[in-house]
Amino acid sequence: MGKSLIVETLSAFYGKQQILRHVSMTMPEHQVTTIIGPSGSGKTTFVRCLNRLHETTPNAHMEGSVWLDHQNLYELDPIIVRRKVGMVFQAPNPFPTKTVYENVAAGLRLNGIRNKSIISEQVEKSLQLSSLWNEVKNSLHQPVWNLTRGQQQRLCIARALAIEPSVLILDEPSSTLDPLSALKIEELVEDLKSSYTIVLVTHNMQQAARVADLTALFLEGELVEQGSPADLFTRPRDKRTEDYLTGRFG
Amino acid sequence: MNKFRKHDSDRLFAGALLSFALILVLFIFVIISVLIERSWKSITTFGFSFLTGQTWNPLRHMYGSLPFLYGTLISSLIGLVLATVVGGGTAILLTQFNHLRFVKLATFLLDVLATIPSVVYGLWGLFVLVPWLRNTGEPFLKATLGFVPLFSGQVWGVGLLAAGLILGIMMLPTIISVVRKLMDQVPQELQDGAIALGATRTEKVRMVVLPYARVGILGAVFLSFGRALGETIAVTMVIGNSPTISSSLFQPGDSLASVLVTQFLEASTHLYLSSLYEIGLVLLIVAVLFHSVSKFLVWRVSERARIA
Amino acid sequence: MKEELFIRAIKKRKRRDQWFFVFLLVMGFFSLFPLFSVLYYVVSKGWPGLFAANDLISVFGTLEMTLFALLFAAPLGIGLGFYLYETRGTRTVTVIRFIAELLAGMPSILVGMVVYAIVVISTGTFSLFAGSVSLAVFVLPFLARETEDRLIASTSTLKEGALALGASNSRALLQMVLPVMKRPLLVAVLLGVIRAMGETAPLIFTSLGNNFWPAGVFSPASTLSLQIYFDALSPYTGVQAQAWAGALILIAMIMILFLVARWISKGESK
Ligand SMILES: Nc1ncnc2c1ncn2[C@@H]1O[C@H](COP(=O)(O)OP(=O)(O)O)[C@@H](O)[C@H]1O
Ligand SMILES: [Mg+2]
Repeated sequence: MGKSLIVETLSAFYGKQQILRHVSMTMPEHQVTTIIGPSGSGKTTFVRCLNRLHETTPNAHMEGSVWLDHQNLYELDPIIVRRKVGMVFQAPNPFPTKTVYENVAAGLRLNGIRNKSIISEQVEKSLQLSSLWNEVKNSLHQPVWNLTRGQQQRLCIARALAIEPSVLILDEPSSTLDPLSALKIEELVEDLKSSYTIVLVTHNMQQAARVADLTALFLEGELVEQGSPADLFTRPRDKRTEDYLTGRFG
Repeated sequence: MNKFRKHDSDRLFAGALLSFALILVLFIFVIISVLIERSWKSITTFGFSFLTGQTWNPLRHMYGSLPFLYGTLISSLIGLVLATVVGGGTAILLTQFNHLRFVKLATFLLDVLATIPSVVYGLWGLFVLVPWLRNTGEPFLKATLGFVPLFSGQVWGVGLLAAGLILGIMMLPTIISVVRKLMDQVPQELQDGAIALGATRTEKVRMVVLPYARVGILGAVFLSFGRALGETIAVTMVIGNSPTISSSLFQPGDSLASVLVTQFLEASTHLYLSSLYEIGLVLLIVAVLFHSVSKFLVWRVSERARIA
Repeated sequence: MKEELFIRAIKKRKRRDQWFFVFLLVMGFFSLFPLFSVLYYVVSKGWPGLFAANDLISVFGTLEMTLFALLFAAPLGIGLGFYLYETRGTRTVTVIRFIAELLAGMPSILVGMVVYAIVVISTGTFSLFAGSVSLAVFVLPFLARETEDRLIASTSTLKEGALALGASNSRALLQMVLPVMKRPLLVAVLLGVIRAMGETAPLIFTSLGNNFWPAGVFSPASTLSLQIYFDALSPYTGVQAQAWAGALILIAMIMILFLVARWISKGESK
């Protein structure tokens, strides 16, 4: 199901301000690629280019290309892109006026699926995948604000998985959660990587080292270095990486 | 020493401000008591039948205010429906499709629209809108929807429909600006969440924007309705000034506020004048009621936004 | 197979999106159309009848009455706005706030009836003065709310800064806030003037209208809005033309004030 995501000379702008500079990298299938870097270095902007969310911001535009399964995502309809590339945001953002069930079903309904049994099957499957099923199976039709923040975030993961994307982007998914919920999300990422291409933005280098197959470091809109976490964290090739890792950067 | 002076000046200042507030209380007290005192004769003479009576005929000393209540509510309702659909649509256009170049210009023009005085709308209504309704609009409605009682009967031009249209136009700037503010409060993360699931702009509006803002929009609707109920001059000029209850929107009617304008200075007997004051009292109660409900709804939304 | 269905569904969804956009554009057009129509008719029908003697009487009546009304309402309204701002969030003030809202939501014609019962009856005459009183009561809550909004918008950080420096509350407000608030308050007053200028309903029972120069403050007086109202209801086309001319003058005056107010608040935000 998973497919590699290939980015070629990607540059992104807000108005005239250039945020990303010629970023090229490959995010292989069935692997977790983590993206690290100080805040403001363009990590969010980068992943928002992968599902073409960046261009929905007024005055924002990008250059370059992103390939998935031999298709340039920027030559496809953005709606198709977003179906293939799911996204989970920094803070949990379940739809507050919908129930747990309807939150997960939202993407299916958008895609015109009306068949009730298909929907509830898919909702259950997605909640299982995000290991939330046991916690919410008796409160599926309750409002979402009864859930803890950690549960809400896993609900957002389920919501993204329900439409069966090939790529799953998680932008600092546990940065606003308590440590226990954060750990759950981390475990979840490990479980999911067998079926998806996973891109995980994180501010936590231990986390990056634990779950990543590949790590990329962003500094001031540039991709400074990428490689296996073992290499990157212990034998950095770039001087700036070393400075960042030892805390001398910024 | 220094501390004392600070304290004193603060107290003086607070006292001065409080006196402003007390003047306000005095105002409202005077207004309400004058209205009650002047309408006392009518209240004691007619009791509840003042509200249910269908005939208003000062010559025969019959003072039933139902036709005015009816005309007020129906014309405001027409205006409200129009303003909600047109104004709500405009607000969505200006907030959700804001890459458009004309947003700034449209905002400016809507501000201008809000400064046009009621009497000018009345003038325009009487000499532009009413003739158009008589010659084109109402005959067309009658031909297409004539089987509905609302759109049947003789065509006049002046009447409930004309009043409703004018009210709708007058409500537009308020509805648009309140709904825009509410939609701007919908968190960007929620909107991004919908887009990331593959929603089109329309689907995003339906899925997150409208549900999030709906209570506030309801408040804005009530607020405009409360204002429309008390709108006077423009309605007086186009409603037809006839105290009748008719199922057709084409028929002339009258509203609480406009009967006051047209008859207050003609009231020749004590009871007649007292009845008009009671109409004023009814108008006050109805307007305040809707105003309070709307304030409560808008307050609840901002409260919820603060908690979330 | 499933993918094909999905693509077909997307086409439908995009078409719906486009239709919705078209619908919104139509709604936007409907919102602005009345403005253009009103302005077009006011200019084209008002132009020929301009410069009649009656206009001058009404223009002066409007200016005088608005001036008197604001002399009375501006200090009160601004003071009240300060009170509301100062007491934000406290529970005791919710009653006052509710009353202010009540007055703001009250149909203006009721103000006219009450001023009639008090001022007109006790002075024995309709008058410019009675008209001014009703306009003052009418704009008072508007001024209070505008003042409070502007205070909130432009001073909360400033005042906290002053308080942190150790100024007492009243000093902070008077010495630090008031100078900065000059322009915003001026804008609020101008917007109040615009509202008062166009108001008609409460004047019918208080100022009555007058075809001649008023003999003094305590005699009936005309304003543009009253003149428009009475002339519009006349059966004679010549008089109706006067109504349009009056509307043109009134709108022109309001537009000038509106643009001045915008210009002032623009300069302030820079
Ligand atoms: N909507 C926006 N408009 C303008 N600049 C933005 C916007 N969002 C982010 N930026 C800028 O882009 C840069 C990168 O931000 P971001 O991608 O969010 O970084 P990160 O996720 O690594 O913290 C920052 O300097 C930020 O100020
Ligand atoms: Mg970020």
